[in-house]
Amino acid sequence: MFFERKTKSQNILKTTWFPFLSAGIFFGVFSLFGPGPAFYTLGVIYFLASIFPFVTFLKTRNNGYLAVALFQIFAGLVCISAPPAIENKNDIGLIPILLVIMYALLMVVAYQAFNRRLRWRGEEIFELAALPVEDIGNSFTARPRPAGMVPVSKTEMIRFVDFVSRNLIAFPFKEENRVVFVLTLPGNDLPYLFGNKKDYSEDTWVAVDYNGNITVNITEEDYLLFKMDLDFDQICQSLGDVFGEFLQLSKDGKDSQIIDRMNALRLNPFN
Amino acid sequence: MNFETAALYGAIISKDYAEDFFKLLVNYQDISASEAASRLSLHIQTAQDFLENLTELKVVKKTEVFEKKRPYFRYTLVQTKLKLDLDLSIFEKENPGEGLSRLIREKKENGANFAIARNGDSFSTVAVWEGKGRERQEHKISLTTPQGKFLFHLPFPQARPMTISDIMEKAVIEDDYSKEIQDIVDELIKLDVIEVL
Repeated sequence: MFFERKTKSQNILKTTWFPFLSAGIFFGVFSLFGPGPAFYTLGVIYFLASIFPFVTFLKTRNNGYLAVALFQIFAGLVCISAPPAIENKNDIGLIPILLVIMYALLMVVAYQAFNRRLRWRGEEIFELAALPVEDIGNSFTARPRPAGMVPVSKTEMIRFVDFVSRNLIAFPFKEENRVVFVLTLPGNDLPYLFGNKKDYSEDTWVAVDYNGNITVNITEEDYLLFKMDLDFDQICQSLGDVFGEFLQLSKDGKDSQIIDRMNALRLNPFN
Repeated sequence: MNFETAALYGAIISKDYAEDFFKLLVNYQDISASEAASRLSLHIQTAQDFLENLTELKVVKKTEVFEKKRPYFRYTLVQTKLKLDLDLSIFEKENPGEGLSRLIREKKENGANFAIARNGDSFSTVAVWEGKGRERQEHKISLTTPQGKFLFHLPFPQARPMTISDIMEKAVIEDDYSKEIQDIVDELIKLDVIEVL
């Protein structure tokens, strides 16, 4: 699918800072204290870093993040096991087995990453919403807007919530009479994942109540992600339509088509 | 009787010395402000203001008299029955024409802050900043449920404007609420939050 991107690209450092920082610390410690402390430090970094993907897996049930957590744990184990082997070449212990598992997990993680399965899909949702909007005119207003209706049963909604969460499309908040889907951009998900942010009112969200009424709220910050001043009324309606369409596809058991629609945009998986 | 006159009647009658004052006026042929003030232990200016207000309402009449070339007024009661008759229906909003058929939408960059209600399908309050500099104050308007639903469906700035009745229909609001809807619309037009096209 060929189209003109309407959202600005995200800073690549937002998603790639961790390997760069780890490598910097590793080489820094290596040059100051030698290989042993450097590998131990890197091992500890990997163990600590595995908490984040593990929490993401627990909150979203996204299997890709389980693979990332396991990869980081095995990478940590390799690093911790490396210093004795460096000192005594005959004492390699379980390193070969750990390395095989680590590389296998690395392949899985790389596959998931290149297929955008490890990335919150807020950007793609915005891009899909912006596709049919051509009119230009700065008309932002900080209030939600009703954006149509899709009849939905509670069971269908629960299934949709599970799908949206597992595929990192949005972060769901279940309320008494509706579910609010908060659109998350890469790097902005941590406060929600660790549970220290429960107020979504300052974020972009799409709410669907159990009667199927869709309400959309776009923040000014997210509106500025678009390269041009798209008509705010239309972009809100279009975002509601995208969710309405996703919900309908989910109801019809065509979940894979939702992913296909987003993948068809072919956005860079890393920025 | 218009509202201002009724308000003046109300203000006069609500004074804690009003009953005693009227007892004097009913029983005296005429009385001056200083005589009434001394009789009721009031300040002379208080008595003077009370009598002047009654004169304005034509409950008493005042006559200028002279005492050693010094003029002053004496007041005589001319109405012994006070009737407060106020028709509140004059405040009813007119429905058709100027009312429900007006094309409206939210005004661009109005600075209003709409707070969403708990149920998520209406607004509970709308806050608007009024004044400038240090005098700037937040004016928060609590909305009734129909008003909140109505504003929730108000077209965005630059969106296609809609008539008030169409918005009410979209928001599933019964016609019985049209007067309170028009009231909030008029208020928000005054506050530059809504524009009429």
